[in-house]
Amino acid sequence: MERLKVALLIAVALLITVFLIDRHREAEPMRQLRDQVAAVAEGTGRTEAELIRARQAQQELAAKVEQSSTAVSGLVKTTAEDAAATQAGIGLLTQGLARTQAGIDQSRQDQAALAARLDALQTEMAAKQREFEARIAALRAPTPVAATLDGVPRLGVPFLKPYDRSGFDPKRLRGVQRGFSDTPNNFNPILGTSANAQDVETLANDTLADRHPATPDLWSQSLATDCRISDDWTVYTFTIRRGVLWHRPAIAKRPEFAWLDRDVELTAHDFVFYLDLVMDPTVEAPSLRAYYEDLAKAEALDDHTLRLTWKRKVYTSLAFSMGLSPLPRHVYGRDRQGRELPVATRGAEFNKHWFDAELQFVGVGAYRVAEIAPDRRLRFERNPAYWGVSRHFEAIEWDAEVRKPDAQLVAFKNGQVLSHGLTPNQFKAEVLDRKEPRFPAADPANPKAGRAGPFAWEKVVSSSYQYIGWNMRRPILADRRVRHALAHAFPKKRIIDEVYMGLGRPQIGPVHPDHPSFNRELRDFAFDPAKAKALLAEAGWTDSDGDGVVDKVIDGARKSLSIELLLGANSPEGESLSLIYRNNLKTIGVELVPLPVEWKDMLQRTEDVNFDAVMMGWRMGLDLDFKQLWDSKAADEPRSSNHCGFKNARVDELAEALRVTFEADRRDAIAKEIQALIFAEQPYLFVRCTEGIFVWNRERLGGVELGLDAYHPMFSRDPRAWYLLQP
Amino acid sequence: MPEVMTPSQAAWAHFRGSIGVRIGLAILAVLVAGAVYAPFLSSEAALLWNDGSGWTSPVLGELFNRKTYAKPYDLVFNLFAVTLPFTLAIAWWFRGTWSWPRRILLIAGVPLVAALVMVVPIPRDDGGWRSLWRGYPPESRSLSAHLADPGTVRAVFTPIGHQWDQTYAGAVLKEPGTVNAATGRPFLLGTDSRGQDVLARMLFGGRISLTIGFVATGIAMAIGILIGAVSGYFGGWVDLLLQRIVEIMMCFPTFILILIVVSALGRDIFIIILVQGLTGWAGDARLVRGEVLVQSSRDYVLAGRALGLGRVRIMFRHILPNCMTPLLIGAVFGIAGAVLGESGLSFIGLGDPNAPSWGQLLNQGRENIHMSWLIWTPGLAVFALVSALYLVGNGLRAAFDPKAR
Repeated sequence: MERLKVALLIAVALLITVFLIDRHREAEPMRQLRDQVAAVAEGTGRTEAELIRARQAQQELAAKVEQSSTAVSGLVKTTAEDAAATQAGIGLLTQGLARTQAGIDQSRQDQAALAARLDALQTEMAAKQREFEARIAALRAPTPVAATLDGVPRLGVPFLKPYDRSGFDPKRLRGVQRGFSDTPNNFNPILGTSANAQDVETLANDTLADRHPATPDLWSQSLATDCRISDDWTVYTFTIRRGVLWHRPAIAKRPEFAWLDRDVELTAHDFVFYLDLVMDPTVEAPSLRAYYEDLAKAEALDDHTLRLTWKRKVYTSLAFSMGLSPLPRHVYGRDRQGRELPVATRGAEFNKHWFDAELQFVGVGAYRVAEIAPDRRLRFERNPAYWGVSRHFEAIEWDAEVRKPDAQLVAFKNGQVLSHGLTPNQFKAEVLDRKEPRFPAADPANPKAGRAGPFAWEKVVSSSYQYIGWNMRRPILADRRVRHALAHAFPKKRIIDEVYMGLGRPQIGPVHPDHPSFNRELRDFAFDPAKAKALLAEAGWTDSDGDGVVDKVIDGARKSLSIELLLGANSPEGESLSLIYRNNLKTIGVELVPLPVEWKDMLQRTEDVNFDAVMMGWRMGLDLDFKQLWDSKAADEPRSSNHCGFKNARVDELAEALRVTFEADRRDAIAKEIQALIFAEQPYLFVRCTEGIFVWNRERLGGVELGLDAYHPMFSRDPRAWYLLQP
Repeated sequence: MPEVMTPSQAAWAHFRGSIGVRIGLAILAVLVAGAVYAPFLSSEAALLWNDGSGWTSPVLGELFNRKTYAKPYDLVFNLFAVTLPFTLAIAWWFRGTWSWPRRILLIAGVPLVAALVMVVPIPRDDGGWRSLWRGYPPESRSLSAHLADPGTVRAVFTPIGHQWDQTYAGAVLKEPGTVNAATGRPFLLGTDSRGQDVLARMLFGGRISLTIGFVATGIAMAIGILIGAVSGYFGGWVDLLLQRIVEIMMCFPTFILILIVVSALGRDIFIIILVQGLTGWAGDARLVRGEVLVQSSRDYVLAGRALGLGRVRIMFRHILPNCMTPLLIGAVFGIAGAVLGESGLSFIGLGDPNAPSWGQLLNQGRENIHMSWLIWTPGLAVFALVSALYLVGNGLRAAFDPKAR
């Protein structure tokens, strides 16, 4: 909460600053306009003075005419001879009078013209004033607008924040960002399961609504311009943006795929198509289907209106609805020749679709996949027809060929890639031991000290945690006291400091320590081998045969407390951790046998629950849901994520309650109780909340700091934040 | 020295006289001694300990603690360490009266008896049968325990004082000479990325390299001799068939095969040894076949056949001893190759994680490229062992080559 408050304060301070700057900026033209108006007013004044002078001249003339008349009458009376001469004089005077009259007329005309100009200027000034007032009003407006379109979901009214990517400077759209990443195992948006398949989606496709990296709990417009939720959070109606075009795949250039070489607009049917395929039992996507098991129906009311109806009020359906991305029906709904596939066989065809065999990917996102070379290279190029504001790089390249961390570091130092993540050992050598002078030195007082050199580094928080999961179905690990003893013998601080070089925070439950629902009242198990030994003795484990390992008679057979720990091969940190833990367990009479296995074997053995202990990690989401990992029913299902066999009726009940609770404080309370229950059971030995060292080439990649500072920690490496300082 | 020497006596004299061979043998002797007596050089357990109830030797008890030295090759080396003084004593007692039974008794008998004593289950006071080689609780009469609470204990510790598999707190990637807070002893060759003493691991790593070298080469030679001898002696379709098999084996890239097998069967040191042995015999088989073909046409073979000797007897008793010379030379080089192979495998991270091999240290050096001691220590050790083996092998070749003499 403290962090949230500080973040809010900073946000308010930022808003005020922006407002002040903008007001200053608006005052400038206003002053110019006022100067103009003053100039016009001065002109008008001058014209009026002339007018007055003209009137005076007229009056003088009139006076002279009168004098002349008096003189004439006097003269008529006195000398008739002079009459003719006088007559001629009168003629002259009359002429003069006429001339004066013309002058007066001219002055009147001038006055009218000046008045007209004054009017025009005044109208113009008023219009400009109105315009500026409107703009100032618009600038001040966020308060009234935000009251309705603030991104906070509520029933019956549109709430999506307007699309806004004003932070991106289109003048800086250039350069190529190169990084390391494996290529996904399958580019199909439904069938691809590897983690980087998600990254491809993020770059090359969009979702209905977007979580901005700075405020991930608010939703803003993306492919949907409008969203209304009704009927107690079960019906979601979206208006789909018009004029959004699908990428044109590279193979459309080939004559046999000429039918693909056209612009296709995104419609609501593409979303329905996606859900139809996910829900199709013949499509091989059981894990994805589980997310949408509560979905009753998806329908396109017209080309640009999508309605999702959920069976019941479930909190996670909000994120699943908002995060829905479209699937190109004009590609996946057709066969190689472009003929529509029949609905009955569509699912089976989809599992081995020709489009995936051609190694193609289309989306509607800011980047289109330009080149796919599996296990070698993946290249994204900016989508010229993107509906929104594009991102900062001309292209993004993933290098999948350099796999060893030391080779990757060399490539980063050469400038072959611009950003990278250091391993703990590399962090120690390169930064802490100052073997690479281009990395600035660490400064315990200043967490941002890494930003000073040509190569910048910064510690970033990750949203994942590492754990050692105990298989609670094994009789030797079924007793809670044994698991407590195992936790007491784990030197967590030493492992974080010496194995991970300080990159990480002690994790104590399945919720991120920065999450608002994190239970701060839980106190972690202290490293205390004596207590661990006592707990084992209390649970009946003693070294009865004197072989150095405690044993106990379980179901008539004497069993030693010997645990095989599966860990990923090629992870020096994992091996170090297991060796340190093994030596610590040896002192309390527990035998730990570390067994490095390949990732596939590890998954296989955890799915078959054929293991004692396994070291793995999970990613923590923003929307808490405990059903996937901790549901008692899942413990008995094959291939479930509850591989430890955790069963707790109260946790099931609370997890279910959490699913249908939308109020933040109620959710907090439930989540905290679940954390306490899981903590007490210790199905996992929670190791650390992962932190990493992110490095970037500051000479060629700028603006990263802005993203790191402004964005939510979980999104601080979002490529949307970056731009280039130099070409 | 007799006036007239048999060819083997002449070869032996030539072999002993070579400077290269002497250097090689000296290096090998140091490495073997370090590997054999590693527990006495580098262990946390006290060499001698007296806490008032008389002198004991915890390190001796630890030698047969399965929880401390889990691998079977450790048992072999530890047995060798214990029996070597007895062997030398008996050898001294037998001096001047050598005969084959006595030699066999000495070389095979002593270790065999010792191994039986260790492994065969014996009845215990508290009931049940247990072998001597089994697990015991961790040794409490150790250097760190003594440092933590000196009391009135008088004790003698090992010169290095660090357990090879102990991960010392606060000792990750320390430079050579850094003092260990837990034991008060310096890490003479620094520590690795887990806080383990590099020198202790080097000593115990020597055991792995030697085991791999000798066992893998032994397996390869046994298979190679058998197939080569049969192929060369019988000739005809047997030769044709066996030589095709040999060619298939030679076509296989051994290292790739090891990679596949190791990733399929697990990263155990014995699997690595086995695969190296089972794939490395093709060259030996060809060598033996050629020699047997040459020897088969000699008169003594014909004489043996005329006397009615059996094929197996002629093959293994008469022909084979005459082919041993090139094979012996090949074996020495084979040992060097096996050592390098295991180092390579560990270097790419596919070695046995529970075995402190030199290649594994090299791999850590690759991961921590700035910690130079992790590279030059194991690198020099591999270099020294392989060079020594090459020097000895070269000396053997020169000694048995009549033209080189």
